[in-house]
Amino acid sequence: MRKIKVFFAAMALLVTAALAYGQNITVTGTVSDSSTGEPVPFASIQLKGTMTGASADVNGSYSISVPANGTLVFSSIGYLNQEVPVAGRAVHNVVLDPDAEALDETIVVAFGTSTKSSFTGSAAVVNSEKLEKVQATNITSALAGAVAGVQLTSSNGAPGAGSTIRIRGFSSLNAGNDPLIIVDGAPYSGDISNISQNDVESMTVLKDAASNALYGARGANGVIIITTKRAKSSDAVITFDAKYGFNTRALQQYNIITDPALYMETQYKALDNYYQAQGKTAEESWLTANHNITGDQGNGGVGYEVYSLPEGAMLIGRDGKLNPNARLGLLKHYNGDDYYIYPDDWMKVGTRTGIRQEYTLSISGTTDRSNFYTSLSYLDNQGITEASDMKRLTYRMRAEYQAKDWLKVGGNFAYSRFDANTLSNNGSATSSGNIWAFTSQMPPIYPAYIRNADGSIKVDGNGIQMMDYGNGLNAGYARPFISDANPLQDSLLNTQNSEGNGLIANGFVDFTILPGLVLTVNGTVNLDETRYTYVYNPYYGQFDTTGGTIEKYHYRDIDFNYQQLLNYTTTFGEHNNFNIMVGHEYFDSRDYRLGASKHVMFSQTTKELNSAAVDNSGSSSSKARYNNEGYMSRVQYDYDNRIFASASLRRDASSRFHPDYRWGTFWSVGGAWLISRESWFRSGWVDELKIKSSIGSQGNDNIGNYRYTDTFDISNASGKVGLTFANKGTKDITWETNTNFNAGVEFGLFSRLSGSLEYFFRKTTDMLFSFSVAPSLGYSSYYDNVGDLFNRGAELELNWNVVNRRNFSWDINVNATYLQNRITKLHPDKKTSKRYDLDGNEYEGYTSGNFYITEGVPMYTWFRRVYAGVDQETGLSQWYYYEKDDAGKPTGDLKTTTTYADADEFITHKSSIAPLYGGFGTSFRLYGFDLSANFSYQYGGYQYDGTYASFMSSPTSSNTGYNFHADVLKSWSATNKNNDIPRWQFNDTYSTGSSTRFLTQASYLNIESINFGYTLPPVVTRQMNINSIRVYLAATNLWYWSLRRGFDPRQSYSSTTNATNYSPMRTVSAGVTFHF
Amino acid sequence: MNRIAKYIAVLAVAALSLSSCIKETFPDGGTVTSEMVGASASALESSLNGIPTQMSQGYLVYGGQTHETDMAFPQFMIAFTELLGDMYPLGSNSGYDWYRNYNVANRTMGDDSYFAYLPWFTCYQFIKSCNDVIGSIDLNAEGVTAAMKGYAGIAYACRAFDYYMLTICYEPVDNVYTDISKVKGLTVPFVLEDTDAETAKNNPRRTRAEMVAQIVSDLEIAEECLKGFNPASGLFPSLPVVYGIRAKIHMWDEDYANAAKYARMAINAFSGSPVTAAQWNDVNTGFNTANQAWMWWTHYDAENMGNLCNFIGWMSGESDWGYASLTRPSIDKSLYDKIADNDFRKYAFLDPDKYDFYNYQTSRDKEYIEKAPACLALKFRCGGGDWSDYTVGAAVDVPMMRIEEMYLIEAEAVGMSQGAAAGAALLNSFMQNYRQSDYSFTPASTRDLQLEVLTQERIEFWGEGWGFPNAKRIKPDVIQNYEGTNAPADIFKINCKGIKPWWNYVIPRSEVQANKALEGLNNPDPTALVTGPTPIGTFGKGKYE
Repeated sequence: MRKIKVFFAAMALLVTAALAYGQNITVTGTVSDSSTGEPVPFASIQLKGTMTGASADVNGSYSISVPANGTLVFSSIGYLNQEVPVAGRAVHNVVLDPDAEALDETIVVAFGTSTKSSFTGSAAVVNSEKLEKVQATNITSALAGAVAGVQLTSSNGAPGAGSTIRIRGFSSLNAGNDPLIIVDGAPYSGDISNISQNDVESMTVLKDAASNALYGARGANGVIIITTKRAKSSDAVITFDAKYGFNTRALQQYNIITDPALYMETQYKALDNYYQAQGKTAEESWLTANHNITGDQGNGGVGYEVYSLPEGAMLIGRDGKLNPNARLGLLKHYNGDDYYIYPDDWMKVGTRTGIRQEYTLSISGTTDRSNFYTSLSYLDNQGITEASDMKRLTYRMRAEYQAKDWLKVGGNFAYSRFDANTLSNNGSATSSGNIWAFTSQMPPIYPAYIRNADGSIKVDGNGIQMMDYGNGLNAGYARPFISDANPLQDSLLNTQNSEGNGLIANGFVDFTILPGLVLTVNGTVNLDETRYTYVYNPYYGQFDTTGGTIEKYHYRDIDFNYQQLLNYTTTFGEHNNFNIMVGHEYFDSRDYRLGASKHVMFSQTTKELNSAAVDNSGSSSSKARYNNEGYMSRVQYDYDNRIFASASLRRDASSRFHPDYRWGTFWSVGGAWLISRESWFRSGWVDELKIKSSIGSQGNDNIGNYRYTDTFDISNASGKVGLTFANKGTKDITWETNTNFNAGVEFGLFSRLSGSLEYFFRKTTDMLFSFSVAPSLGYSSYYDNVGDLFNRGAELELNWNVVNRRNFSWDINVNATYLQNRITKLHPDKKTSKRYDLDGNEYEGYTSGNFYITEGVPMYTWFRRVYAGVDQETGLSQWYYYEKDDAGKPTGDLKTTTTYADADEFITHKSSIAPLYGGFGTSFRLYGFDLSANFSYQYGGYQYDGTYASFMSSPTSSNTGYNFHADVLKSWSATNKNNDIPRWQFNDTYSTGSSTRFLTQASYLNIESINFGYTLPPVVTRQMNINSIRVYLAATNLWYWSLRRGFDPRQSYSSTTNATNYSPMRTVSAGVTFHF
Repeated sequence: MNRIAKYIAVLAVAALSLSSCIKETFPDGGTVTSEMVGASASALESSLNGIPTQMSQGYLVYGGQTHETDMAFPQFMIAFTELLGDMYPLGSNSGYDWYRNYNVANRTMGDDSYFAYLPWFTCYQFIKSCNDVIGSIDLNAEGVTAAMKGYAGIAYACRAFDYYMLTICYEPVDNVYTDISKVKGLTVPFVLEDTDAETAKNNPRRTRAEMVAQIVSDLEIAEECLKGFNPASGLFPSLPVVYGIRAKIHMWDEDYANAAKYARMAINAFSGSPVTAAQWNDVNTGFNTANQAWMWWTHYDAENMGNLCNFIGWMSGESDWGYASLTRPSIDKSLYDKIADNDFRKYAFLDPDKYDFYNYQTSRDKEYIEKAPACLALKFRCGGGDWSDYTVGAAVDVPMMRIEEMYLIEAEAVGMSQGAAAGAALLNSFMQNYRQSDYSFTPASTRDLQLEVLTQERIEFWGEGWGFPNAKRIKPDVIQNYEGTNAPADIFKINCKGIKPWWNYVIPRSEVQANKALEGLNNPDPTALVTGPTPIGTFGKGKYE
């Protein structure tokens, strides 16, 4: 009831303020360039003081129905605005003066659009022109390096896998840091990969409170608005684009040992050093090491013999070198069969060049009352290993229709059909199911295949080429490195498939109740139906004796979003322009799950439950629901297009909080002053100067459902219901609040250079923490609002138009973000321990995984033992510790120890958060040729190079058979002292114990994309009745530089880097675009 | 266009729009909220059923696949056996035996290690479930039914058992490797039905006397409650089990007279008898199906179980799923050699010469046995002999208390309280009647008797772990490097004087950080204090010798 009252009150207010309603006439004409006389295509025409508008077609022609006494505002990117009174005339031909500042573009903002000059907040746009230059299966990956303040990380390069996006830092320790994604006005929680890149007109990143506050509840981490294409021209435009290219591995290989002889020599060295240290004579040690080197892991063996030796000869000579008579490859008779043992290059066997092809056809056009866009696209993207690929068909139709002068309706419907195969256990360095753990870490001595005596690959009774699982099947050899596993073969025999349908349907109605007063009702349904099929083969691997196992899961994720927005636009006096909006939004998301599994299959080729015999007693289904609701209002004001102000207020409720604590209030105010439009402002070289500022707050409820109450798990208690405690809830948890201040300046200089500089300060209060308690309570944590942190920094964007001639232009753009993150307040209960930095400063806080959380340091501050180099007497690794008194307080000096357990962990003051990051790019056009290149970079920050650490570790009784980094050859030895790499000795378990030794500066430079094209001369294409043909080469993710070959700091901020993730893919394609 | 129609359309849409409103949501799946539990009539019974379910719940501590050692109660059975040095992984890859951290030298066992957190949180999660049941029943209220009293009794008995487990793990004993003087005699904090989060922030380690009193008090209530109530199955502790737990805690407390008394009460109250030779070596039901000797057990339901995180998958020498097929769990050769050839318990382990004196029965084939490592354990058979399908083979019973334990406790306790000869008589009688007809043992001293009983316990409860608490009390020396050892690698070849220093479990850092009372009062970190191999005939050097 209360809501209805509010609605009527607002309406009454607006109705009384209504203006007289004039007679409409249709105005037509052309828009042309004052300097060249050529038409200005797609210029926008707006009835001044309203949101009513139209756009010119490709030939500069337009048509608009407006009141006879109105004023039209003509604008286009790169031109100065021009106001023309209609004055009852039906034809207006308008010439626009070019404006090198090119600032006044329309940008998509919360619940509407704005012009860039009038916008008081901070937003950055990546438009279709830029998007066309990259090849993105997941559209958000196009943001890398493109926009100041945005950071992307990804630990999975598989086709369609997404990135983690952070906007202006990291706002929360335990609640989610992901931005809100809005697609065509509605929150989107589906799979971004269901959206075809070719359908996207622009991506707008909203960064500050003035931009985000209207998304109150969920805007705290920034908002990314994806807007799909609509028609721009009255002439139908048909576009066909085809790309065909290749995916290859973009992750570099560490400088590992690739020569089997060198590998065996290195392994031998570790054993020889060990036995000599045990007191054996050189001769005994040589014999024992040779005896053990191909034997059991427990004694430092690698488990395989891959060299043939003359009878009685030793593999490694007394000089530590491979016996010159040893020959690679061993013929072995075992259990009545002959085998040829020969190593393979697992990287080569396990990876492939994937083919990527993408075809898009779109048709768009407008009439005076309607706007129509439709597209069909097909993508077939093969990954760089077997069994990883994605096929996707997308169809979109968008239509808008001005049914009456007061009624506009529209719909935007997108359907996608996808079918993808994926790998498992991504990034797990020791997982038997992770292909990359094998291809990246396998030393050059193990066979991937089981071979006959003649070297041909054995084929088993089922016709399968036999690969080596390292479980004894290959002549009895057991591989110590992830034994009884071969995910390369598993990927060929097993199935991990997801296929399904994505549907986004949006409909809207605009009622123009009175001139300037528009009610918009907007409904969106987003449905994602996915059916997962997992088949595990009955021949090899973990499930080999089950007779084949099949699992089926069906996921149905459906969201509804429903909005009602009432917009009123008016002008008081001559210069006071107002836009007032009130609205209501409701979002409801439901996830359904259904699954079952069976085993003992009829055959591997039938992949349905009914083709298997035995139930696995694992059927399951569940449903989860999340919904939120908000009431919002916004006022935008401008005085003579010079001074701008905006304010917004939103009340929001989330089902993630207890009914008593679920409502939160979020707000913003902002202002901007376009100084360059002041009459007194005269400057020959400053084309545009604007200052702006905003402040406001948003919320974050991203902690999962039902955290406000205790939960219990239901399980089978031998046929009865058993309840066991699951999670502790906290009744009074509520919104985490993010207060956001932004101030900036935008400028245009010398008609050539434009840019902006902004300062931001984001403070998180009532931070949602996962609160650790004494585990003796029977639960380990609960969520509560405690603690503060901030992110602050500056963003710079520069665009330099170096040359701008008719047949030659050159542009350069740069963006840079400086970021500082600090935790400022922790709840006293969170200060569970006292820890120190190397200077003896005391901090109170707690450890969280690899990091120490305390006041005054950034999130993701590494908490590690500190490497003190090598003890030059013993060759052992040393670490620091403080001597402590009884109370555990450090006394006296910092000392070093070679005992890992005795070393202290310190607050390193090294955080994975880089202080500087951004991107730069250039575009170049010369006659028909065009070239563009985009780069992303990061400077500073520290990442733990986990893979390097493992390649550098000494073999032990429980760890042999992995590859070594070439740096181990430089290890300390009695004859090679004074270096930083510890001795190389078997069973030195902690020689590479986790420490600052492997914290590596995380700077990088990446070539995101290069696009080179040639547009055929119009004289040629016109003869073919084609408007234009462009052929091009596109390269994505071409190369990166980091401080160690193989080290990829782009994977994550919150965990260590690791080469056993699915490698990022480099895609190089050739393509052609036709415009008809 | 007529304006009235327009306004009607607008108002209709507006009215529809404003009718929606935020809804409170509830989970609809494998989880329920406390509000939903509160509204359920059978909540108490379901909560009670949760106690035994939790006992075998895979990934209990981490909630998802982190480590397959995270397997509730059965983790202790394997860990204790490895702590004793009675089990080695003799498969091609001993690295898959993550439990070996309990067995070998130089492993991270400090307060931030997985192996500090796992057992601690496991037991306290069990205790939380018991507390929830205890807290919801008022035994003094009018109209308390026998069933409700029975439920309470079960929860009290389970809680007593859980604190017993914590005590034997975390109460430190003297050794030459670490200095325990600051924490001697300290067990673990009490978390009872009325302990709140505030108390838990400053909750001291209790002395052994306080702990024994608490456990005895719980057991007395349980005894009272269970006198008139027969639990639905052996998944729940019954009256004899209550006596059994009491015998165990008195034993730990070296209160031998009471230990002997309650062991005997358990034997008398329990109607069963020890496992027979046929049962011991049954290919289909051996140690996977409760029988007349089992007083208390836990059970795996196929619905709650995966292929990796289950007891049989870890411990059966025949199963093909899980880790046992990779690690090949086997008995320490020196312990094997202590079993007489005519003691049928020996046939649960493969002889080095295979079929020399016993015709091993297996659900696999003869070739499988011939290729298997010497000393491989066949004790825990796959359910129904199904070694290929874990949903059948691992969905079995796992013993928690067998009557044999009471006989052996009684033998030592009587020996210690009434003289070695009296104890030896009981031991000889048990062995001759149930295990080895020609067994005869004459102790030279009470310690001699203790060590012999311990040996029998290690044989009897191989893989069940019940030798561990007694060994920790007796401190028998741990010798894993000897002439002919079958320890698979140098790191296993360690000899420790008295005990391995990591027999004194370390309290996890997360507890110490959140509970002020424990600051500076944790057990010492035993990491890397013994390095292998220890030369044969010597002990690893200790700082405190």
